[in-house]
Amino acid sequence: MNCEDIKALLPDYCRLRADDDEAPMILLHLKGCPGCRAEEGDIRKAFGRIERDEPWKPDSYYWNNLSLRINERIYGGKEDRRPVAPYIRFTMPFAAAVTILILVLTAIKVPGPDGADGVLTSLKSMPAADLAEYYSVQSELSGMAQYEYEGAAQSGEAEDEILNEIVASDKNDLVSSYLDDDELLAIIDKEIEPAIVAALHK
Amino acid sequence: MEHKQDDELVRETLNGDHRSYDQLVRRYQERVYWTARRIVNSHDDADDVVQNVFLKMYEGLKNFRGDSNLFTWLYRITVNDSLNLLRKKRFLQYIPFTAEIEDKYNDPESAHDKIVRKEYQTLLESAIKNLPPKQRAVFTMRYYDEIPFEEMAKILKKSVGGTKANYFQAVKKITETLKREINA
Repeated sequence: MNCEDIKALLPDYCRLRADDDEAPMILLHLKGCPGCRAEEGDIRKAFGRIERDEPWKPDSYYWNNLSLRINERIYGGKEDRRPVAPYIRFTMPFAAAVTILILVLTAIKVPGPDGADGVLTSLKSMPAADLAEYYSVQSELSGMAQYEYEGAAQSGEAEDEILNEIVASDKNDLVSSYLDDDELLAIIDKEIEPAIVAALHK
Repeated sequence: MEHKQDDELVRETLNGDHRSYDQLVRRYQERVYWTARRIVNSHDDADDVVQNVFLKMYEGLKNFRGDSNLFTWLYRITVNDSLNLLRKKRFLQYIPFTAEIEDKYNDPESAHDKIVRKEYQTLLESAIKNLPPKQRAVFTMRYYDEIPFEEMAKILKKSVGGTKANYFQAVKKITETLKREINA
């Protein structure tokens, strides 16, 4: 064997891992070859250094958590790789369809005594003054609107114009709460608005 | 805990017993981790490799014929996955990404790794980092895991002679790096 062959075997030889038939040949070669002996010395030193090496090690938390994370990826979470049982295959789409149906039905408001019609009926039965109070509370008009209105009146601004603005904005709020109901708009125009004007002019 | 043989745990896993699979993971996780860690030279990357190896193990159990040792099979997956990860990283170095992605992939170390390296990375780890991927794998397999050259050659799809030469080259490079660093 030449120097290149011997050098290739040196790492195993230095760690006593050389084959039984190779070790005597390497030993013999090293005795007569200073170049390979120097190489052997370097490798032994490097291995000695490696033996003392203490790499950073993960703690026990990491090891316990690792198998949990792997299990999570296999048996649960987004990467569920379990074979899907037949009943789950049908149950999940069925549940999704039912949920969507419920959402669609609740989005379509069916008029009834407890819906917008119910509110409308109550409003119609209320006296104009109570209606105005109800409306004031409902739209939080009473405090700020009256203050604004009075302030504007004192400063000589056109009362009707400001009042109309206030009523219009609050009318929109109220109406938007109960769909675009023409009848409700008519009630507001005919009854609520005059009642508010009357209340503000008291 | 009752010590069951691998094939028994494999059978129970295939019958849907999660705990048996968990036992298999716990039995081999450290060995898989350290093989991967020495090749990829980073905790975060080793963690990725370990998870993928065990996912592959789970998916492949039904095809596992049992004519080889379970760990031998896992070991092959680990070495190949580690090399694939290094290859992917090297490939990604040549693709112009946005700064954020570039930082993540171009830099072989994550932010966490950098902190860890500052405190813990040893001279040897630095030396190993300078080796080409296959030499890293060969060094890890032979030095730490004492895998026979014939087996290494099969895993890496190389000749036995080529694998021996690779091992010597790896040792030589590590020796030179250590010598340089110690003398510096």
